Amino acid sequence: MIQRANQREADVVVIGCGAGGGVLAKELAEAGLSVVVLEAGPRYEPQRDYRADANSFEAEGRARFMPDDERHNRYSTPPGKWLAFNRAKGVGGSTLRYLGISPRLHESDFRVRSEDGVADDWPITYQDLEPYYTRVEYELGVAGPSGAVANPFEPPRSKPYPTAAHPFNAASKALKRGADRLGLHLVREPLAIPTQPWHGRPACINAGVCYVGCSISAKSSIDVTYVPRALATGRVEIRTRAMAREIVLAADGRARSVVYIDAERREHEIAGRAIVVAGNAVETPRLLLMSASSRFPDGLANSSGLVGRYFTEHLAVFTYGRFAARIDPWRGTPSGGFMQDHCATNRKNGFARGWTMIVTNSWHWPQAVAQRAGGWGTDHKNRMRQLFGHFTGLCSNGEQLPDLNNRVTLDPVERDNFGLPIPHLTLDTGENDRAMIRAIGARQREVFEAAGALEIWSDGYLPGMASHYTGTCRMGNDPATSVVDAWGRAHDVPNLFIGDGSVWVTSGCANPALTISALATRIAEGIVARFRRREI
Amino acid sequence: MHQVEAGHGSIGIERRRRAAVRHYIGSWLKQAERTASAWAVAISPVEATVRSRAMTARPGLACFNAEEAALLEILVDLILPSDDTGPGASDLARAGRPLLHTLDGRAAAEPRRRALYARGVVALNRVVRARFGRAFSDLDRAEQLTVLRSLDERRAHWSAANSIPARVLRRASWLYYRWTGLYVAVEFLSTVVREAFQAFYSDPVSWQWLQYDGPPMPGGYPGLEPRR
Repeated sequence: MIQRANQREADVVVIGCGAGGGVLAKELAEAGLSVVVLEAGPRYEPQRDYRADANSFEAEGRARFMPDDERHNRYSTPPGKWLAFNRAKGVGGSTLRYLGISPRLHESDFRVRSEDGVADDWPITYQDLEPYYTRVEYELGVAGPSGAVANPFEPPRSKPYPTAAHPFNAASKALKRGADRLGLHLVREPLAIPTQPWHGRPACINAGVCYVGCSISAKSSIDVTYVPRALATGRVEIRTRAMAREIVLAADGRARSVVYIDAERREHEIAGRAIVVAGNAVETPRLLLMSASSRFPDGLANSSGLVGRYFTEHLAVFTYGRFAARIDPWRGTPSGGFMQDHCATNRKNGFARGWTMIVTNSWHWPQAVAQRAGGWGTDHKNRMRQLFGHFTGLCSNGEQLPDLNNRVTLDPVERDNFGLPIPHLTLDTGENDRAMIRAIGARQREVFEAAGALEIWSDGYLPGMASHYTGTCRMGNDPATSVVDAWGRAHDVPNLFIGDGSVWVTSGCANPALTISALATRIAEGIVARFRRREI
Repeated sequence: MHQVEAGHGSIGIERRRRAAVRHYIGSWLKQAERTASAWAVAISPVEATVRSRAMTARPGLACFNAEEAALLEILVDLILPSDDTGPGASDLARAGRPLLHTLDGRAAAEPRRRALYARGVVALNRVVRARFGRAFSDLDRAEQLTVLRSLDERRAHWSAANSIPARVLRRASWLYYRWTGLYVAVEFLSTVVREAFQAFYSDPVSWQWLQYDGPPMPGGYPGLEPRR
């Protein structure tokens, strides 16, 4: 039963309140538009919900950001295929969980086909996006290195980082000795965790809780940065626990409204003059596919057949090393620096594109290490004593090449807690990807060897574990080969926009949140311009 | 430019239909296995013993009966022994926070967890009796360790990647082992290990041993260098 009683028209309805939707809400509202945001998850209160001072903090942290009903996050994969689909639902989206790693894409990432003859070029360039990167960095207070310790592979910037880089902890220093020996540049990665008070939030105190929620809001997740600014305009309303289930078309072919289900399982409909989908690279195509109609039998805005196609992730390879010295990786930010020496295509590799290697100092608390140590009894305790405080890891963002056959579809059988078809995720590695995975593992091992690790082991490539998903509603100039235009507007529906990682053409090797927010800022500008020109 | 496959062409529809059929068969098989597993457990002699077990909790405990408490006390001591490597379950008990009580409290709060313990204790004893003719508590320490190691080996064997026929056979054998109790005993051991680790490694007794500072908040870690 759709409740039409409280139906209300907003200028813009935004679906999703993460790195894309939260930014869009603020930018649109500051330009004078009224915005209703539909967020499938709840609103978290950092001081109340993220306490990490009890002895049981680790188990509590592990359970955080999980839905009340586990069926809410269900997804399926082809038989025999394992794929992690990590994300957080809630105001702030997956930035609730992210470690704040905020590098920009490189200039070459926007013209992959021109440079390397693989994949496709973006319809925009790095220079088009540069001003928006800067705006987002200053909103978040990104901490990054400059001068002698700057990242030599960084693309040109119009302004320095807003706050100074974080220091290295002992674990990162251990790896840096190895990197230095190999001539690699292990530098502090830009982090959306200001090192000085920023816009009313305190500076980071090195608690290392980024992944389980920062109770002092030092981490610049969207819910403590863009969302308060959006709400301060008085023109934004955020409806939480509101699961969008369909976008309804009007007779004139424009998007008219969104039907959503609230926590009490009641259906509502909200109309908007423009609608922006920003659910992430899985939920966005899922919603478009669920919104099939006689006009769009294969899914809304899907005349190209590409909605859900080109599902792409970052190839995450994990290698670990144990050191003789105590290195206590849990002190400080869970991400501990990165190396971009291998980002560019290297002819000697025999494959295209490259990767970023990141020091991962997360999950080094006692319970997590106990799980890794495994076993039980005296053997377990010996291993525990050997590992705890003595090992750390390297992971990677390898640029997976987009593949038409990697895709998000609707599961024909399984349903979520609302009775909606769950996403079915197909993601295989191509030849280029597999060659890169082997190279990443070898280079990671070399770093640990050069750093003098006593013991080195690897989890290999873990599909989906980078948690970076892109590509399923790609942008482009040709409506036959892309879903949205260079301003995120659907080719097929003039007032429908997509404002998340779905619009990426290629994945680069930079953690995606900052670029998603920069794109969202630009997409918001395009929407505002259309409203001003009275095209919407 | 690349060639876009016709998503709504006849080939696309045929392929999607086949995928859907495969999916339906897969879901049906999963459902059938779930039902068969539930039946194997329901008609197993383990379940009959579980139903007839003593329901009175041992004095001082919320839900475990005397037999369960005795077995779990031995088990947590084997999982986390107090030995040359450092403190273990008995040190926690001396500090006034015995693992048995933590496990008991958690089981009392969650009926599903409670049932798992009840079934696990009966199943483990059944498996042990079949081999030694005695209950787990009546074995000597070396025998007890042998039992636990054999359960571990079983688990490793089950989780090893192998061919499709072997996987089908294994899933069928699980039905039998659900009936005999071996499957339940293997699951039970890994549950108790997990629960014991969770309690032990969130306790200052283990933190002192590992030289870990304790919860990250409210103060964070002002110095990034290791303390010692």
